Amino acid sequence: MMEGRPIKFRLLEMFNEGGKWNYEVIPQVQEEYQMNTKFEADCINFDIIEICTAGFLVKTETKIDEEGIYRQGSLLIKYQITQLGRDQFETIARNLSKRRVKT
Amino acid sequence: MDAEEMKRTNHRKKVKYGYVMGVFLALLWGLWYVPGSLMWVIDPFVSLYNDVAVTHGDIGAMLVTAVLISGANALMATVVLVIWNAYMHKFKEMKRTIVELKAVQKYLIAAAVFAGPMAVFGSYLATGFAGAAFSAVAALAFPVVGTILTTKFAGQRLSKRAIAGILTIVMGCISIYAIGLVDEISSGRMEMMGYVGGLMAVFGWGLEGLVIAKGMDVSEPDAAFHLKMLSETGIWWIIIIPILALAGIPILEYVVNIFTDPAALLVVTCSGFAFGYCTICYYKAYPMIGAGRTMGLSALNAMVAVVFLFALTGSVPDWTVLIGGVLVFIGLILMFYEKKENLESIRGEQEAIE
Repeated sequence: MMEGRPIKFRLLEMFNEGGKWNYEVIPQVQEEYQMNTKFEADCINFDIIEICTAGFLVKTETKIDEEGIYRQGSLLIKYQITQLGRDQFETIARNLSKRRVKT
Repeated sequence: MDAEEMKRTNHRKKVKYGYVMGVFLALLWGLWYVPGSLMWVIDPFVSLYNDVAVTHGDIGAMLVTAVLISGANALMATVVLVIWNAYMHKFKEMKRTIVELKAVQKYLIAAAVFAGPMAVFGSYLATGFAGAAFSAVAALAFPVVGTILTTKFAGQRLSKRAIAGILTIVMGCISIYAIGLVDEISSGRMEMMGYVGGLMAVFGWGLEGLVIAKGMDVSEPDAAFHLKMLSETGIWWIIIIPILALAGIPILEYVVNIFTDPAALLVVTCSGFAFGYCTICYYKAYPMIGAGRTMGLSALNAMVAVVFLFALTGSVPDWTVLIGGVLVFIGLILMFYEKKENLESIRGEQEAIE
């Protein structure tokens, strides 16, 4: 439902489906939004940090990336949605703009 | 370093980033007052003022000039932000955001209305009908209104210590104008319209704070502040300036001069740079340290403006600025040395569901 819409909409949708690690979410968003640079990956990570600070996600697990799954030596974080996050997601889902159907 | 320790370090870095943005916001805003006040003394703005003053009086002239200044400022800030977002690769995100009218773009348009016409007209009405000090105090009180609104209607939480910090900083900045305010009140020349203007200014910026807090929850700051400035530019240039022109005010004659007069263009460009980058810092600080703290820090612009205007134009502030300086210092200490755990989330402690 949220593919191709503002990135924070999509991120809330992905976390609403279940708890996820940042290294799972970032490459998926990069692929969907064609944001292939390291800088853009950092931007997505930053968006996740922002929605977590907003109270929509909580960090449930952390580990240091020793095998280089995402970026060697960085902190990997697993996030889970909160009630506030789910409410926010439902609010935006109700207020989405209609898309033009591509033919 | 183990994962727990790294998590704490990352968190401290995040909070520090928010505060650095808040401090830069105040610096740039204060710096903006230099081109901001220069515009009132150079052409074409002075000619417009004099021209309108003949037919509509000084206050009418001030409001019309404020429109042209705000319009030019918003336009230049929007142009300057194009450079930023080209570098940040955010044009696609802007496109994705602008079409989501009901979910997010409405907040950005509302922010443009509140911080644009409502607050600008309010603060000049306050200056015209009550006095410059009263207007400045009304503008500086906005963090208090904004903090109340964002805690009531956006669910943001603040510790008692953060609230004390915000209040102390605001009191400190207001005390710069204490003597002027007492003079204006005791002169007995303050009119009802001045109070209405003061309320418009304080609620304009306070409500902007509330809608940004809502908008920032679901949008990227870079896309959001650019769209807000674009909306504000639209409001001035597509709605207000044409209305004034249709009402027979000769504003359009002076619009061209802004772009053909090199001095005017330089000052307006500087104003656009300062305002554009100030907006960036404002919107970047919001999601990190919350609305209340950001607005509290933004009040510091008054202190910065006093210093810059003193250094560049030699205007000496009242001695109460010293009391203000001490209060601001105490307020900042209160705010910075708050327990960092309080900022894990700007809406208090949350729990995972499922």
